[in-house]
Amino acid sequence: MNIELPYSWIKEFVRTKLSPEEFAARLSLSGPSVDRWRKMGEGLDGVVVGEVSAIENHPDADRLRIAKTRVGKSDTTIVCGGSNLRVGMKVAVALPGAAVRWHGEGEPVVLQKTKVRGVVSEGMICAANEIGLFDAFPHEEREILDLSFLSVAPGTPLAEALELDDTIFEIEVTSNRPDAFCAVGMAREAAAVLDAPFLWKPASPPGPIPSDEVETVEIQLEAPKLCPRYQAAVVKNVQVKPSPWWMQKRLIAVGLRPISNIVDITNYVMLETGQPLHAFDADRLEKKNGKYFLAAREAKKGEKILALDGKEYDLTAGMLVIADAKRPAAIAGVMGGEKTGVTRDTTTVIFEAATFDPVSIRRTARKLNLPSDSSLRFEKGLSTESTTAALARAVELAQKISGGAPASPLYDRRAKPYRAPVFSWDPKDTIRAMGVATPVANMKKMLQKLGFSVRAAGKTFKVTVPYWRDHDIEASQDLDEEVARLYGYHNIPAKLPDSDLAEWPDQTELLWEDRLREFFRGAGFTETYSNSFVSRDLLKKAMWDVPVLVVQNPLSEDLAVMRPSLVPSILQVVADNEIENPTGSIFEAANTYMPRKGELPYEGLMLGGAVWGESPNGELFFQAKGVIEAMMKQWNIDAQIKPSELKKGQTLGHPGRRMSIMVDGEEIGIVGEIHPTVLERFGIKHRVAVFNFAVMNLVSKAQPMTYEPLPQFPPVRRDISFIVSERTAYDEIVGIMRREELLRRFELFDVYRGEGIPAGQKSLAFHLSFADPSRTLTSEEADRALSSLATELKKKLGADVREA
Amino acid sequence: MNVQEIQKWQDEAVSQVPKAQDLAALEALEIKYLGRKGEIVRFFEEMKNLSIDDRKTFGEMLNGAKAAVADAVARRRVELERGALGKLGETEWVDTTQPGVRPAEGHLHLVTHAMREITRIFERIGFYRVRYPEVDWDWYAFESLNMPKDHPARDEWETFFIDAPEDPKRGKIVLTPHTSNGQVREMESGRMPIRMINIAKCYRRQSDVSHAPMFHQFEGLYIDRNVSLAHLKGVFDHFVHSFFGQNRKTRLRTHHFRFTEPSVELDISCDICGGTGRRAGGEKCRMCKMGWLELGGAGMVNHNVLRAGKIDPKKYSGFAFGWGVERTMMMRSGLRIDDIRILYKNDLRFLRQF
Repeated sequence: MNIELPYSWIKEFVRTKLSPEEFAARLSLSGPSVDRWRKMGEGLDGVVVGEVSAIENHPDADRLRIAKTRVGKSDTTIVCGGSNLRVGMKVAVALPGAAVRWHGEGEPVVLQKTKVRGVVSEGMICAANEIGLFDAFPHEEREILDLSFLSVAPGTPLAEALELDDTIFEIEVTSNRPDAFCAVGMAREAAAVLDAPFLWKPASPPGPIPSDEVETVEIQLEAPKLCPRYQAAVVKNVQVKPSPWWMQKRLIAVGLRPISNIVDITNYVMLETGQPLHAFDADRLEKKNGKYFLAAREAKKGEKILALDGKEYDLTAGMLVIADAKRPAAIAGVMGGEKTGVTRDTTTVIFEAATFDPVSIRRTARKLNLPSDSSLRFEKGLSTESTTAALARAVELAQKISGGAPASPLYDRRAKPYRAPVFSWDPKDTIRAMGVATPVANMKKMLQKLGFSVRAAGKTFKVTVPYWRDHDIEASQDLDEEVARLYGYHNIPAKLPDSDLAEWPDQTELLWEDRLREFFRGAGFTETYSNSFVSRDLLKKAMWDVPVLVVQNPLSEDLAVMRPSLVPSILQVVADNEIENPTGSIFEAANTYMPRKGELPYEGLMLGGAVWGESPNGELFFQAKGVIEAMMKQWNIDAQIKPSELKKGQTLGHPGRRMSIMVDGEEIGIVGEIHPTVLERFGIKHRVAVFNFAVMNLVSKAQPMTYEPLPQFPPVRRDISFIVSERTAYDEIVGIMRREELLRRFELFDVYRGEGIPAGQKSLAFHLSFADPSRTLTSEEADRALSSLATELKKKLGADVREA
Repeated sequence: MNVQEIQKWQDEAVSQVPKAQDLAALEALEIKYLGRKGEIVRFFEEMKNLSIDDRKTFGEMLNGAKAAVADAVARRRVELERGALGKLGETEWVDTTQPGVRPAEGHLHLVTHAMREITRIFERIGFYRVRYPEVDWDWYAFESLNMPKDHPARDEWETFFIDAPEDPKRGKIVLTPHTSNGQVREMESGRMPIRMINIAKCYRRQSDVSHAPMFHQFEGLYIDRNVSLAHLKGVFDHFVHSFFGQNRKTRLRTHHFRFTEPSVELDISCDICGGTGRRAGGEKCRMCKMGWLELGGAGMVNHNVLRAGKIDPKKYSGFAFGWGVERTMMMRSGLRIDDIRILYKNDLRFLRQF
């Protein structure tokens, strides 16, 4: 979480002379890190305070006037259309060279001396939105910025006059450190990091109040777990009006809009101390027995509240509210109620400073979709001990800027007495974690600078945690971090691990995943990564009907279930790419998921892919099959590609162009074309063949690489071609060839149908290679083997041998 | 036979050979001078009639002459052959500016490239790769990592849950929002020292230009005796210098994670402004935060996590880090991908660029 803070505000509580840039760099190395910084008056160069000394009408324009304006020793002439322009008014004058935004819109434009409807204008009298000050000085259209409240001389640069010569830091504060999410906390960090004096003194509670003037507030903690501490104080005779400029300026600097002095006080104190506050209009609260009454309780069923944002919220059990005698007056720690809020007419205020349970606040804010500056802080976990100083400060400021008078002590109800956490600390542990030795006395001093108290207890120490750190320091190990960061991570030397090597083998799945990826890339396939989540609709389109792992809280219906197979995703990728790529080949290696009862789901690495294009004679099928065959050959994998029945629930395959990849008689993958009706559902115009297999099942059958001695004797080569029936399977022919002892190799090189071949038949041609490992084969022996093969083919398959 | 005669023969032959106009003419000359019945043979035959001493003198001289002529023939042959082949460029002309015949070109996904590179860098310093479930028990994803039950990350708007009954001990089934579920699982393997790199898919309920609901992380875990922040810095420097370049600087910055203590954010110097936070013209660099870019989180393993993995924090210590693969890759200069989600759109026009 990031906070914006002016350097001047931090410096109110820590003494340092560092330049903003140096301060940011030093703080970032050991504490909260400064992400960015900017000069506050940036963009106000050339804008000065002017005083209007005379006004004349413009001769040629009704809505324009000519203002003689003093911006130093002499008057300038400025043409101005401001509706509220009057003599004696102090205004913001942009001189030639200054940058302004016309009507507060667009990019800044550099101003030049120019003629406006024939009259020379030597500058521009600005509206607040034209120089980036709208939030500070909201105004109507055509109203110029009235600076008459300033007591500076004409000609004073505006940034100086408004005391905007400050630096705003944008600082990242980690979620465990809400204590540093404010000016005082940041100064406390800086004081420790820079070893500089910390100047903050908690505000004093109001002095004694005559007993007959004391207003009583009865506080009830009905849900002590959700609200362990509640403090309140009454201030009367307040006058609600805009806050003074010094306060407004700081609120604006950090992006908050000033509202009124009382509301601004609550925000100001929150930004200063980190403790959110709330202000009730005491007179709008329902009293109990004539006394002010506030209860921290869970919301009752059916209760509603109109919040300060003007919206009504339905409250549910478990949400904490601050209620008066009758109804909820605030959603505790989240937002106050509209009906009990401070208005222009408020005269008596009750300030609240309380501690709320972080989880409850977070869930409430989330449930109501109502995050606020207050809930943001409470949900990180604040100490019960930070309320008093904040409440006292609010009362003090109310006296100072609203004319109010304290009308009560600081009332205080807490669920239980406070006990600061104490941990035992062994400096040796810290040295081990840092990897570098430093004297114990130094480490002790670092802890003390951060507010810890350290006392010796035998060989180790007892360390008491300061209240503002009572949430984030959970164990003595946390003290390692405090020391290490103040020692400076940049001062710790970098060392490579120098201990024993961890000689554990890589997981085989990872090795195979990598090998197979490389294989498919080499085979011309492009790797895809599709989402593990798919929609039910996608599975339905792919006719994939198996039990699936359902995401309980998906981002959308498109991402509703964990995919049981890669195939539907792969088909979707084909569909998405088909227009640009009428042919293509893709693959993906990823896990798929299947639910199991009482166990983690089955999660297995699959490799799937597709080739697409035209396939009149099953070309795509053979491409897909070919790549699987090549892969199996590469690693000597003992698996079979066999015809098989379609599995139940997976009926997307083309019935005539599909095979199973089998291992030990079990299907572990498929290769085949997709049924045209399924393609149609995907809107795919071409044909697609896919392959998909369980990686570990397949590669478990990889046989060790073996070496086959090279043949000593030359082979005798022959070709054979023959005609068989169209439906004679290659596998049958191969079966016969394998039985011919001298036939060492054979290769199908041509399949022909058509002219010269009877219908329903096909001509096949093979290269044959005969050899005997122990001697040179004679030509006659090879011919005998060939003719015996021809006879077998005739006998078994009725082959018509054309040429042998 | 005398010296002049041999010299004259040699001079004539050496002057005639270069005049041969083609290979056939050269062949004829070669036969004439050096052939089996050539002139040189006649000289050698005459040597029979000489005294022993003269034979030696003339023998040397004849060999020299023969070599000189043979050399002239060889040189002329090269000239003639080259001349003949000189026309090859004309007779066998092709348009060499035409594209080459390319093999089938496959492409690995950008994330695969990154994962491989990251793995290689850590393998060089003795880390080994592991893989653990992507869909895991709450125990491994959160509880054992020192994340209390009510931690915001465990709320259902941060993490995906599986619609399945809760296990009394191990909790709900979640889609791992980080690779850190591998930490306690690796500790449970019982091996020591641990130097693991766990790269896996992770899931979070976010989707915008810098977040995809499915992404990848790589998790490092080093546990042994006396492991310290110094080692974390050493390993981090090694990675940054290998992956981003030797000129990049590193910084550890205080941060907060439940599973580590101390926790740090690891920053690297910005390559656009050279780590200065300002561009050449003096204006602030928009790419970085005051000269630094966040790479990811790391820290010393929280003792509670070691205990959950049955490792005694008194004996052993360790560090862990977990960074996004995509983010790390996208931070490398040159590759300017402005929306992470393009990685998972599977547009072939994109994928084929890698």
